Amino acid sequence: MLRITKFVLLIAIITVLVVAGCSDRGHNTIDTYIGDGGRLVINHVFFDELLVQLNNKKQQLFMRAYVPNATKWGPPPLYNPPKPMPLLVLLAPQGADEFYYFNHGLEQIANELIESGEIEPMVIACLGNNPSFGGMFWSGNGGGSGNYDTLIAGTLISDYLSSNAALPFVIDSVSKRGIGGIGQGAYGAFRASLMHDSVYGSVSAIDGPLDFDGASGNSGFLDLFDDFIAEQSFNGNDTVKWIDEIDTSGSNPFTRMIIGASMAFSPHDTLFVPVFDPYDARLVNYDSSIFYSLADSTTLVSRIVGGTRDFDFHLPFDSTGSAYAPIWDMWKKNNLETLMADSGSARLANMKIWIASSTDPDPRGFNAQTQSWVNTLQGASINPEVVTYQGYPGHPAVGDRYLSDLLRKMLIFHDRSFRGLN
Amino acid sequence: MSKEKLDKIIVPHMSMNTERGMGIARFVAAIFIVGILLASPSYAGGFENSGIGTRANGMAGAFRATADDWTAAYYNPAGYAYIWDNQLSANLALVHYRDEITPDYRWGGVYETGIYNDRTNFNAHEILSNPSGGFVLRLPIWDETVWGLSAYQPFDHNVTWTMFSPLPAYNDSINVPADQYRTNLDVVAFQLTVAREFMEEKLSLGLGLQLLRGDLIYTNLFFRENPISSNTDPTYDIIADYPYDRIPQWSSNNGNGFGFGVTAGMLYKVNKKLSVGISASVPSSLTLTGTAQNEFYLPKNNTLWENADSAAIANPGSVGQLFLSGDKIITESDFEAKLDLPASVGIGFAYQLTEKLRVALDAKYTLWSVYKGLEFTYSNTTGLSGPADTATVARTFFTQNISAPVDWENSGTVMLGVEYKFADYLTLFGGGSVDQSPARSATQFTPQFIDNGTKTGINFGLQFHIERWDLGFMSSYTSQPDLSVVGFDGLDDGLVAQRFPGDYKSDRYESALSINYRF
Repeated sequence: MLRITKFVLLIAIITVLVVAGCSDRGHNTIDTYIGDGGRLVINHVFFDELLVQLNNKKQQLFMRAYVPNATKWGPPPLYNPPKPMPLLVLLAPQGADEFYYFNHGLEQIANELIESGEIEPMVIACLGNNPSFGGMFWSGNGGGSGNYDTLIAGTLISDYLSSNAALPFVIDSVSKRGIGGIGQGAYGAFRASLMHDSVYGSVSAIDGPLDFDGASGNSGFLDLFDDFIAEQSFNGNDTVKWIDEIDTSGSNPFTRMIIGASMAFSPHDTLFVPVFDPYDARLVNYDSSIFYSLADSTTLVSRIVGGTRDFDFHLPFDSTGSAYAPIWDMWKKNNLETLMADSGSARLANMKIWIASSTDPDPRGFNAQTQSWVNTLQGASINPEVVTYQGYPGHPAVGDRYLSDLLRKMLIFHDRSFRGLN
Repeated sequence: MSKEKLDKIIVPHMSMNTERGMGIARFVAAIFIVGILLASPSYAGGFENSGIGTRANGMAGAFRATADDWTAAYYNPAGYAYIWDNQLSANLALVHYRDEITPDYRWGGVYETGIYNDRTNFNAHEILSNPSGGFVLRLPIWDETVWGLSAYQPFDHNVTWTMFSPLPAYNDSINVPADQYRTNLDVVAFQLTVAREFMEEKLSLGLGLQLLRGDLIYTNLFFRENPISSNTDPTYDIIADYPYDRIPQWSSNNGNGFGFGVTAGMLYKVNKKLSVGISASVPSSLTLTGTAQNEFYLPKNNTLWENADSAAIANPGSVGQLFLSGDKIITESDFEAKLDLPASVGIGFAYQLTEKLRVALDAKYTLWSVYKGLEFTYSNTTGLSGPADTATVARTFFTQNISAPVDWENSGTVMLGVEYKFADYLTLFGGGSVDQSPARSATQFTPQFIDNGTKTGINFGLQFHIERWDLGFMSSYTSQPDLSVVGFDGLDDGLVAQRFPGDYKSDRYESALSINYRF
């Protein structure tokens, strides 16, 4: 019986060893704690730049800022201010407001990246585009389009975001400051970077109108004029109706985009001097004695905004959709390629640049414009970090698809720039 | 019973009166311990069990032409005719699946899905126990026909994976159960076996009638197309956009069912040394019924619905707002699913090489092509309320049936075993097998059934004979080839378990203990 016990014990020991040999390799559960970054309302009145901007009676620039460690609805407590952080400014695309990037998961992405240590905390100010025609390309030097040229890389930073007034925890340093955007926002980010020296240290862009005439000099927006005509169902022989009865409703995105650009690049009224009512500072007029307008009526659109001289504009093409050179030349002066030729390439050469472009067909042709702009930069010995992306069957990368994924890469790029790692 | 047959009733006893015998036993035991600890995995194709019993399994399953203990119920019922004493046996197998997946589960190969990509994921640590047993009685009925009653698991599969949490950008405040990809499938056969000789000392036939009980727990993650899309409100464009374009659905289905099966065999002794066994098994399909819990993890984006233009999204209680709320919708349903079990046929040869050494070679062919996967049909769904219940688009979405189809092929297995009677108190056995995977060219390959390719197994075992008792132990290791699964299949239909891309590795260990009492 004793021997039986021994054998039973032997088998038991073998079994125990076998079980012990099948070691536990651990579990795969990822416990993610997402931080408490929140959105702060940082709307601000920019009286000079947005004085008579369309649909902006209060001269406000609408902004929301992502601030790490802020509560959902309030800033970090002043008695325990956060460590100073870099600043990233994001410009919305056509038709988008200050919530645009939050709508695409910015808050959660930033929280996750900060929590995982992939990026260091940063403040991200998201600017809403003007609602008129979906926006005016973050461009213009006064009048109905506003004066973004002195705002985005000017007073926004110098008088507001780095003035310790709105965000006392933002580092006031060029190398710790970035700008980026998609679509019109991409154009605006590069435009601001070209028109001002040493404001932003890094710029990021996702497919946008970055080369108006395309790689061939005969594409880009030139290919979209027909889409404008098609949206309006104009007959090429109707030389009056096509500039008199333009439908700018939301169902006509090409029309709205081209009119927004026209407001910025080819306004009819080229000099506007405001005169304030001495009895009511809220009322603004203009001095007709020094009012200058373009002396060209071929493509003048005068009945969109209303009134006789209320921010009319000129279209860059005629009723057949062919470019109208006098006005198209005004657009081309705002092409990034021209702006870089005017300002010199040094401003961009001193910046870190990240550009993402889809390889899927884009009906707006923004990806082709973007790739042409990349070539232009490389021709000027500026080598941006270029990311190409595409969708998958049934889900092409058009418009702002996959922005959520690109935002992650964009934040990582700026973080590395802020930390001097790229 | 003839005197010759009575003489064959062997009641071995342990001759433990020599120190030499015990020394060898200790040595063999030590070798086994080392071998087991160093070894890696025994496992059969599809979801078939690797084998029954320490002795048969220790010979890698090459047992059809031997079939002289209770496990003949599984290998070859005709073997019962040559069991001369009554037996009562129990068996406990301990199985360890040691699998790894390094997923590459991204939309378009680029866009993160929440699956834990580019890291080695292990299946949940489990030592699975698999009991079986039976008794054999030689009754004076119908010319001393041998009867047996046994319970064992011809089909068994159990693996659980945790490999997903929603992307924070999708929903940063929701938890998903840990058993995300799981199969716990048990088919137990309660078998009445009857066998008798038809040519004395030459030919026997056996028949097993099975009552099959199937138990299934099956969980899966489906990534469903977001049904809220295509509208003039630009908000809808964002909803249709990554990462909100696909809604994860965790589906857990727990049910059982009964069926019947038949197994039959023939054992032919060509001469005193060579015997041949042929067996076949034909199980019926089981209809499984039970309850299903489905959880839907909806996108969470407060700013999106707070600022939406469309009342269909902005209004609390609207279906659009529901699909941006970040809520977890939980439904319970009754389900029905059909489990098709494969028939198989096998042949084995056993040759008594010497008085102590016996070699066996078996081959088996399993008709796995009949198994088309699982298709769950839901009814009596509860748990929906508000717009999830009243809006047609939502209710349709939350009540859809799901399926996990496979495209398996018939597969073959070759087994080679040896048995060595070391002493009258100790028998050693070993073997090896080569086993085709039914999923070797399948387009649907998911973590629930990992069968990477042609497997090779190596088995060891020993059995102590102590008076009327036999105490057995075996261990096996089955090695699977590494497998890379690339791309998706059926991605456009979110209701179908997709091919799960990634790199797969798998090893299986099995150890078993047995006790047999002869009377």
